[in-house]
Amino acid sequence: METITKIMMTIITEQNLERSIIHDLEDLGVDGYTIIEARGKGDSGIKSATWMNDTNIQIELIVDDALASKIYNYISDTKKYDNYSMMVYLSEVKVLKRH
Amino acid sequence: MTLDPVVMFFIAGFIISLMRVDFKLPSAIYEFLSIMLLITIGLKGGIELSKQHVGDLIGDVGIVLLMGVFIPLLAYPILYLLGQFKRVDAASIAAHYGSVSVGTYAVGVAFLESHHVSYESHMPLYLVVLEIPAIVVGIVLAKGISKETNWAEMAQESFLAKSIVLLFVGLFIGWAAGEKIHLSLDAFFFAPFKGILALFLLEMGVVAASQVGLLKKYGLFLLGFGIVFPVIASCVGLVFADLMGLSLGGSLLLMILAASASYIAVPAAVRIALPEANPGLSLTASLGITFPFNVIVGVPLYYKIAEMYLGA
Repeated sequence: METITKIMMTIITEQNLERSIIHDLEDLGVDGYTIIEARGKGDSGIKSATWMNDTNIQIELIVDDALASKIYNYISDTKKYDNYSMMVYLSEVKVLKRH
Repeated sequence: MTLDPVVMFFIAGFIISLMRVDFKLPSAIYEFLSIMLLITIGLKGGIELSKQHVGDLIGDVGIVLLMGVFIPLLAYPILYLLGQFKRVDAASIAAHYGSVSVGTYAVGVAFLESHHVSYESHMPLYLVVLEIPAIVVGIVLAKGISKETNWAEMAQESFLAKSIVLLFVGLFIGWAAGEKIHLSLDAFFFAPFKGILALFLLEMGVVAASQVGLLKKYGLFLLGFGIVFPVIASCVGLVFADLMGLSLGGSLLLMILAASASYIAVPAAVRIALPEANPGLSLTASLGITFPFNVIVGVPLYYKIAEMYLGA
């Protein structure tokens, strides 16, 4: 089984931000992502998804180290997302090579 | 006066939710119901527009726009000075109350139909018109005319909000196709209107009840505002309706438009334009207090006020 080691970056944030954050990610060089609608509870309250504006999204990206730091630096520097709930975490993943 | 069955569905949803019964419509179905309501309301207005000179309505549209600017300007000082809210929160709540709720409007239409009262059927045009100005006024109240505001993004969020686009699609198709729409689309759009509204309100009852817990957090002022302000705004609506020479039914609908607060288009636009505003405050007020108040008490109350004022 041939695999490549990559970084999976997961961003959990408010659904309202989808358009703007995807736009930023694409500008930074991301060319693929997966978005999942999510609910849960955290510092900014319960996101029950009972209401359209009350939904979170979980964005998953598989990137290399360089791009991951570029995105991380951008998100920490920009003040744009200060007032939104956002959680970002990284994990190392092994991506299967397809023939 | 007995309750309209559609309103009973709302109350049922509210009670079910308070009893912690695990019921909620799948979100795709909820979205489908709101799409049906928006398009049907749009079509109804469009068919009516096809019968008259659209140019004749420009003056009235201007008056309605003025009302859309006036109401948030009335709400803001009450919230900021009396309510002691932060400037940005006061502006955000004012924007919600200046805009409109399609659900409340639909309840008004159902009310008029059960009481066999006619109304100017181009009212949905005003529904579209009133969605916009309050958002702009709210942003200007919060920030002044600031360079920071990304007006392009704001316009995208508000003018092209799904609810406005769908209403507009209905209006346009109704206007272009005219009366003959009834022949082909009656069974799908117009006949089931009340049933669709009933299911929509059942879900809205559940959602509104889920906001009740937050009331304790935000205090009595917000509760009072959510009940008293719509009544004041409805009277403003009545004065504007009088100015436009609307019938009793039309006056009631304009009062409802004035009294209702947005819980779909404005929250999304304001979250983007005014991220510092607390979204919980305005949503609790509009969805948890004002929407139930308008649906259960407000609509018949405004009707009484309009009847007395117009001496009908």
